[in-house]
Amino acid sequence: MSVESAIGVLGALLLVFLTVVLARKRVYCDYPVFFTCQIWCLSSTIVGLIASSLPPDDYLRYYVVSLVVDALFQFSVLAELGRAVARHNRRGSPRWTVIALFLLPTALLLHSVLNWSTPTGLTSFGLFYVRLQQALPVLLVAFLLALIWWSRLKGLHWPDLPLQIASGLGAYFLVCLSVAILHTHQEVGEAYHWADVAQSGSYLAVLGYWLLKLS
Amino acid sequence: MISYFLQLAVIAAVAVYLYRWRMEVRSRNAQSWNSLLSQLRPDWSPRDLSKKFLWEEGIDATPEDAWQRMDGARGLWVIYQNARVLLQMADFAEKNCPNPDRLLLETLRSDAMQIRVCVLVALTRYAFSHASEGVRINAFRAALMYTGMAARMTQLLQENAAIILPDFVAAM
Repeated sequence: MSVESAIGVLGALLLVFLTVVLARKRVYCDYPVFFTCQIWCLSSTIVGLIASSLPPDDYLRYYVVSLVVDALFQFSVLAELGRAVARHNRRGSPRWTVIALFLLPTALLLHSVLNWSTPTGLTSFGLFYVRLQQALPVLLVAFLLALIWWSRLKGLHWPDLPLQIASGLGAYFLVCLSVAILHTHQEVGEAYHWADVAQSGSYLAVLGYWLLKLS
Repeated sequence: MISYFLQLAVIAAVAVYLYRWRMEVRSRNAQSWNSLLSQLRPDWSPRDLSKKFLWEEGIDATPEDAWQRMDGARGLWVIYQNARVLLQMADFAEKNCPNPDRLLLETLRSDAMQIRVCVLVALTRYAFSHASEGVRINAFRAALMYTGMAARMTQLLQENAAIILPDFVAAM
């Protein structure tokens, strides 16, 4: 079994345990998007393991679709955390214009600091994938920071569960961002691939952290 | 190469910021009445300024007397730090007590802000002009507002957490 497959199998197992723990604690009542996200991750991990036998171009297309859906879920989970924090503090939901005002300069700042270069010799679809891999972590980190700044400005308390979810996601987003930066200084090859493997491994650590905290 | 290290420095700064925010939130979530009471500075009390401290707003002294009795800048700094702790106690009451008086809570928050601004202005003026009349008047105002805040906190605890009121009175 390859390292990638082992990570996939371990990830699927952790996701099964996590989903069971979340279901037993009825987390789906207050955090339906987070719960659904774990089910999606489990499904996409299993499909990914099956799809790994496809030709590389077909697998890449599948992977890009799952990357986009993952990111949409992660944005939605962050929005759900914002609503949960507002609800816990008996305040109205975040004013999304305020969040957007924080998010836009943050995203621009992050992007202006980072030197985006891409490996040479990529197909147009491969280039699209690399750009997506660079842009998504920036936006996710920016959105998380915007939520935290909004909550600090309003003096809001974060209950334990949203804090744990945000901590896990924050750590994972930073790893993704670090890998994206690392890739801008690499050509496609073994080192490039192992950086992606390390990124997948970091998500296993986040799943383990959530299991530890929630069980 | 420089841009690479700059990029890593940005990531590291964000990671440190997220870590510190998480530690701060966890520490606030782990608060209890006793942990908050233990943060009150015991080295000076406005009981020297008012016989009815904790029960009524007001000071039984002139600005000059008040400055002497509060030991000058030291008393101001105690007021500054205790105002922060009283604010945290108001937040804790809002989070943990059923139906706390919201107007009282907002007044306490406003008190804390005004006291801290007043103390900072007084201390800044003290740094430049020592114990001038303006400094003593600012200190008097800060102490007066502090007695008001303490009385409102006593009222909040009487209504919502009477069991810790004796400890609060002793700590103040």
